[in-house]
Order: sequence, then structure tokens, then C-alpha cells
Amino acid sequence: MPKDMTEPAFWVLTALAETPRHGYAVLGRVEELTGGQSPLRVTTLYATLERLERDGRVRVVSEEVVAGRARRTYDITTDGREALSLEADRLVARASAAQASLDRGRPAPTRTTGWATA
Amino acid sequence: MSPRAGRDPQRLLRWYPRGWRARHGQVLLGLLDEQVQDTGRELSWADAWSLRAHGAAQRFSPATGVLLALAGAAAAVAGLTVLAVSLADPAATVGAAEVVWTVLLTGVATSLASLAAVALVRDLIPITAPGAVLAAAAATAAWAAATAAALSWSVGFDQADADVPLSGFAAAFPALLVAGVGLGTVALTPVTAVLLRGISSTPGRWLLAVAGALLGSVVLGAAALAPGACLLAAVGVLVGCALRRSPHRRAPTTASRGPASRKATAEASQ
Repeated sequence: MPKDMTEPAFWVLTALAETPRHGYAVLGRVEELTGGQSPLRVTTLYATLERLERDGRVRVVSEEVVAGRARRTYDITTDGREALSLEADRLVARASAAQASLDRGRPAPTRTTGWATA
Repeated sequence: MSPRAGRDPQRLLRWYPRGWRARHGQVLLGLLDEQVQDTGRELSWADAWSLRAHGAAQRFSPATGVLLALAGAAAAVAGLTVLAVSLADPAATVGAAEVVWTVLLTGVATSLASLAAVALVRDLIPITAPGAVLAAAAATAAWAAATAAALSWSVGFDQADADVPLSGFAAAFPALLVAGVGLGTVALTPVTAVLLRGISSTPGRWLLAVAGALLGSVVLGAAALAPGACLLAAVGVLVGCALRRSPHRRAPTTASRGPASRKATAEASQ
């Protein structure tokens, strides 16, 4: 299990896996992906992007000034894709195990007899 | 609309170190401005505190850790020197002043080494900014309580030896000891919680994190009593911070930071 994949890092990488985005677009995409349950604040997002950049999982592709605001656009790296892929596999395996367990423990349908229902 | 007191992003940005502000300040302000404009709401109280916590945590970098650990090692050496000088003369006894200085210098050394350790831990594991700030504040308070406990025990020992009633300070030893262990547990819990993040059960993870932190607090407190242990810890943290601040790890991942990549777009007018 990739122990260093925090929930904010997972969502940031997921948002960037589709296309390069600037910070606020990442925030918006994570909001959509999580159905409004985003674990990110602006501060958390920035700290996460900074750590991911330092670890070589994302990179800055451009810096520009838009409407008077400085914007930095990020893209996921090959290392970032690999880490996200590993994490996705791990989550799928966990979900499958949970589903299989639920299926095995599902109570048998109630048996009805002709006599009882007649 | 001017922001409410305590929620002005420009002012809150000052919580971050100067170097960080120079590299990232305008981008972070742009993000915050975009959010305020998009939502039509000024920064919330929680956002403001989050900025303060992230800014304060950002100050705990490996570079700062090196300085803190160096200062801690120096204080530890000073404490050991006072002890060694007072023990050098076999005929002399260790006086109260020497004990007080040794304990105080050890307390300062452990506090500084702990702050340096927070800087190292921040670099090694994804501890949250509020967690790092809590760890730093609680560790400092824990060592202050532990230092007071050591002095309290020393005073109580002398008073019992002289067969005089214990003073209030001497009688406070158990409370100071418990406070030190408790604060140490608070300081270590954010770290153990991150280390145990692989445990999927949240209550189980936090229970183990607190138990591990409690054990760590007791072990660290006991280890600090050994002469030279604090110096050893400070040097260890110093080496760790020095390795983590090596420049090759900080190499830019793209050439985009150069002027050529900066584009002033025409979107400003859109």
C-alpha cells in the first residue's frame, strides 16, 4: 500500500490525471468529483500541490497572470500517474473484498410455502 | 468590500516565511481571491485559521531545523559542561545552582531539539499543518513542564533531606510530571496518527495513536534524564535536517519558473 497517499493528494492527482489545471480549477474539479464533499481548502490544496511537486508527482507547466491574479498550472507526472494507479488498484481491491464479504453474508431470502401463503 | 478584521488575506499571508511568500505568495493570494469572487463570500474564520496554521507550519523547514538543532546541541553541551565542571572536583558537592543550570539548559536543549524534530517530521511524512503546529507548541510546553518537574523533585529531595516540610513547588512534582507526560502525548499524537494511517478503522487508529504517543512521551522523558542523551538526539535531528535540505531534492521540476514561461494573458480584460 502506498502509505504516503493522503486523501487530498489522491483527489488532486485524480483531478490532474484528466488534464493540466490551475489551482482553482483543481479545487473546482475535486468539488465535482466528491459531490461537494471536498476535503480541500485553498491552504490544503496549496500545501498538497507543493508536496506533490517536491516529490515529483506533479509539475508546474505554466505561470501566468489572469485578470490580475497570478496562476500556476500543474500537470501530473509519470510518477504521479503510477502512484495514483497503485492507489486506485488498492481501493478497488478493498472495495471488492468488502462487496464479496457483504455478498457472502447476505441473508437467504425468506422461504415461503404454499401453505403459508395460501 | 474590505475584509473583516483578521480575515485579510494580505495580512494573513505574513504568517508564512518571507522566502515562501516570495515564491508562492502571489499564487496563493490569487487562489484566495478567485475563491472569494466565485463564492461571493469573504474568507471564513476557519479559512483564516487554516492560513495561520499553514503559514506557521511552513516555518518548520529542514533549514530551520538545522538551526534549531544546532542551538539545541549547543544548549546540551552547555548543560553537560556545567555538570562536568561541578563534578570535576571530587571534594566538592554539586550545588543547587549547578543543578538548576543543568536542568534548565537540558530543558532548553530538549525543547529546541523537539522543534527541529517537528521540522524534520514535516518533511518526512504528510502531517497536517495544524498537526505540526500543535506538535511544536505541545512539545515546548511538555519540556517546560518536565523541566519544572525535575527542579521540583530536586527541591523536594533537598527539603526532605533537611527534614523540613515540602514547599508548594516541591509538592507540585506529581502534577508537573503528569502535565509533562500529558502534553508530550498531545505533541506526539499527530505524528503517530499519520504513521498509523494505514489502519482503516478510525477509532482504532486514534486509540493506537494516543497509546503510542503516551508510551513515546514516557520513554522520551525518561531518556532525557540520561546525561548526553539530549545532545545525541539534537545531533541526530541535525544530521536528518541537513540531509533533507540538500539542494538536489529541491531542484525545479520544470523550466517553467523562468520568465519565458510567464505569460501575461489578455484574459485580464475579459
